[in-house]
Amino acid sequence: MSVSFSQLRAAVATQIDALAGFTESRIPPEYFGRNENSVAHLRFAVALSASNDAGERMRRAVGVYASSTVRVIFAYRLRPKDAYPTDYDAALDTEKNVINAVLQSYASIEPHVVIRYNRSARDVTDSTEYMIINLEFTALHMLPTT
Amino acid sequence: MGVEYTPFATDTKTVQLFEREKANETEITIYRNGGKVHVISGTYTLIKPDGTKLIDAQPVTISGNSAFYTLTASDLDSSLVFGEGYIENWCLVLDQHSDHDHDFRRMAAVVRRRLYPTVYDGDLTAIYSDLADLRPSTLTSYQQYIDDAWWQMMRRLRIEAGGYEYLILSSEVFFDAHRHFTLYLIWRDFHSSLGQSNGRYMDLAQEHYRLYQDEWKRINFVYDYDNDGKADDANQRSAKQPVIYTASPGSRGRFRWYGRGRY
Repeated sequence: MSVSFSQLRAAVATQIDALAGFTESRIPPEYFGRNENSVAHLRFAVALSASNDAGERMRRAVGVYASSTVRVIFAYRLRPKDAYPTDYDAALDTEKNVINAVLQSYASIEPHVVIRYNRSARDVTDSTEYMIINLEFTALHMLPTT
Repeated sequence: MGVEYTPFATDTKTVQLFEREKANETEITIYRNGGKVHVISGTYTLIKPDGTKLIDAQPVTISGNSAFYTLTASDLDSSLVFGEGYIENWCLVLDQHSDHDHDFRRMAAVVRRRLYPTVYDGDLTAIYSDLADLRPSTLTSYQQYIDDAWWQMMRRLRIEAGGYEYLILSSEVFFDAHRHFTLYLIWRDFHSSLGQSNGRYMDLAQEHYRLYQDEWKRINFVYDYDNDGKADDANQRSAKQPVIYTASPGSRGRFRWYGRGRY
């Protein structure tokens, strides 16, 4: 069964959206920093930053077996009096929850998606108000060609 | 050899107010080096404006390292003159320098009613919905900032504006100034924790400080000058007291008279 890029992105977003407090950004992932402060906490965005042929035989009737890089970005608010280590650690724990959510089975959303975790990158904004966490995953899926 | 002087702090925010014809508890806590100083024993004296003693060296109750004295309604009966000029004298023996006692004096006033603030936490989150989420984990409320802002405003009212808070009947007039000043204290405190020279918290602090100053200038209230418990004229509101300059202009002042027709 094939899964388009948009279906893959939406499937990952659905997994994260189910986490308590998380809401999807209304601003594209590339401009994630433009989210207003008042709603930035636990805002997330899912980007398909790149996709490649996964090296399988291509058959138009079946689709292209693709490998897509899925990038998840979310913000975690650091309270000024508890920025470090209390909230910093809480942000790391939340990151773990997001990874677990993304790695859950997609059977009920989009079958035949296989996803693996690659890496994390973390940054604290200059204002020290937020920790921005970037997660990268690789998803294997069959891209429809019909 | 003289008695060694140690500048103990009494944590006195403003003049002590006693409501006439009611029981009033008064309390003093002595601080030094970041902690309470243990009070061993003490007496309490309340001196009237005419110099006579309303309460004369009565023993205090000590609880939690603070000294307490309860003035009964009959102590504060209707014969007392309303107003300022009462003096509390706490004569305490502390566990520091316990070889002698210490006299801590505080000004007091007998009033008809105290003035109460109108701002609470919900008024802060009403305009900053994420403020509750930013609250430090050590606090359950922003009350300490609300209280500090209130005490600063009450001192400013007395010192700068020459008014007595207990004669003000319309407490709501302080609402905006109090809320802005509280927010200024909160945002400034947040900013101070982040170790940067500017930023959103500092911007907000400065904005609310300006708004506080604007609101402070605009405050006018229903006052009870003659202390009869009624508004002097409910439709005639009083601004804070004007500044009256008692010195003549300087020799190069703008309106200096230099002779006929010359200014």
